[in-house]
Amino acid sequence: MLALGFFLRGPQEEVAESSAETQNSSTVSSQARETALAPMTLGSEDAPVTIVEYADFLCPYCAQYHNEVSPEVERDYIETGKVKFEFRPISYLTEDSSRAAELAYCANDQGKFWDYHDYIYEKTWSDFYSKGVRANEVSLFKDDYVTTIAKEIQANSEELQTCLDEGRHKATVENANNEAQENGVRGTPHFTINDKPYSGFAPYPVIKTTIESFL
Amino acid sequence: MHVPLPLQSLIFKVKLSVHGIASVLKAPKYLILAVLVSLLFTQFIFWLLNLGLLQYITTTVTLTFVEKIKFFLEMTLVFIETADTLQGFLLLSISILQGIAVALIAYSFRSAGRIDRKSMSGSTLASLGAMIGLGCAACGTSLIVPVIAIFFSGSAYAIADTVGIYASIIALLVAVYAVYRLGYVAYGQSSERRA
Repeated sequence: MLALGFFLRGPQEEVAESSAETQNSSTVSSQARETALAPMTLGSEDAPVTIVEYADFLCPYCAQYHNEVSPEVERDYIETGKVKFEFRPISYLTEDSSRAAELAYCANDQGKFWDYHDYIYEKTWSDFYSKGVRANEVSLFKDDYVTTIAKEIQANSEELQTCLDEGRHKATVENANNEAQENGVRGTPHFTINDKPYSGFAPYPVIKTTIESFL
Repeated sequence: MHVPLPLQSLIFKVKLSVHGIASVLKAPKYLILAVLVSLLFTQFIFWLLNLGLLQYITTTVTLTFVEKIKFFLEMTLVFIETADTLQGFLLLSISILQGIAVALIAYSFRSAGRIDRKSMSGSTLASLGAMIGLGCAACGTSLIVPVIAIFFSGSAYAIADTVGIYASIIALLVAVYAVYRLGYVAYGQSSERRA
């Protein structure tokens, strides 16, 4: 499954090239440029259906979606080339949310975004939300969290810390938040399935039926 | 054991109300009405913030009628499965009570040509409470978040979560009261008819 995930997840080199090109273009707005810097996608570029998800790493319903629904969507639609999935981290819920989102973009710089994504949602669900803990009580982003997370996702801890200290992706997160607001995102998770919006935890039948209507 | 008189009277009234509800729901047409309204109410509350997608799914020509029915059946199963969570339990309970209330209102109207106003207001209040309270306040997909955000800005989501739960519990209590009253009225009407 992990190996398959590796092949399905877009190549980082292409991402870096495209972002460098975008950065050089003076006609592109900073907002579009920042978004283009971090295309966190899964699945085939030619897929007939595109799902975009705006999510907060500390949102309990996002964690529930990624633990209960996402594996089925990956198996039935992303791995079969029918769906391209784009993930857009935003900060929405708690004080730690922006730190979590910034760290996601920093992990993406090291090609570790999906490891980070999977680790955070699995951890928040198994250790906190499935036990009824509230988002502002989650202790995952406290103390020496960068070292712990870096170890878990096999990323360079120092590089992650430097990226955070320099605030390299502070603007990226702010721009992602603004973009989400402009796109009518009122809460997380928020999905658009071929531009059809859906707000909140999406049970599998909602995702499945909407995808099927486009196939 | 000595039971105070007002409590005895209440217990007696509740028993009569339960008799009234049972006698109405014995008739298949009212039972079907109650089930249908319950299902529709659950779907309505769930889709409240996503009516655009609901409209798309129900009207798109790319899905067959059978696929659409299958979708709503699958969604009903999802609602039943979530009954072990507080919000899922509240949603299902309020929906069932609303279904029973509408069936009782229909019975009252057909047999007496009038509706008990207090019960009707109770049922409407319960619907409003459910609309306000149910939904994911913590992730912002609740109707009360924008209202609360005006007064509490940053802490809106935490507050909305709590307010949502309380609003739903109040909605449940109001729905129970509305059904109790309607059942009591229905008992009186069915007794009159028998006499």
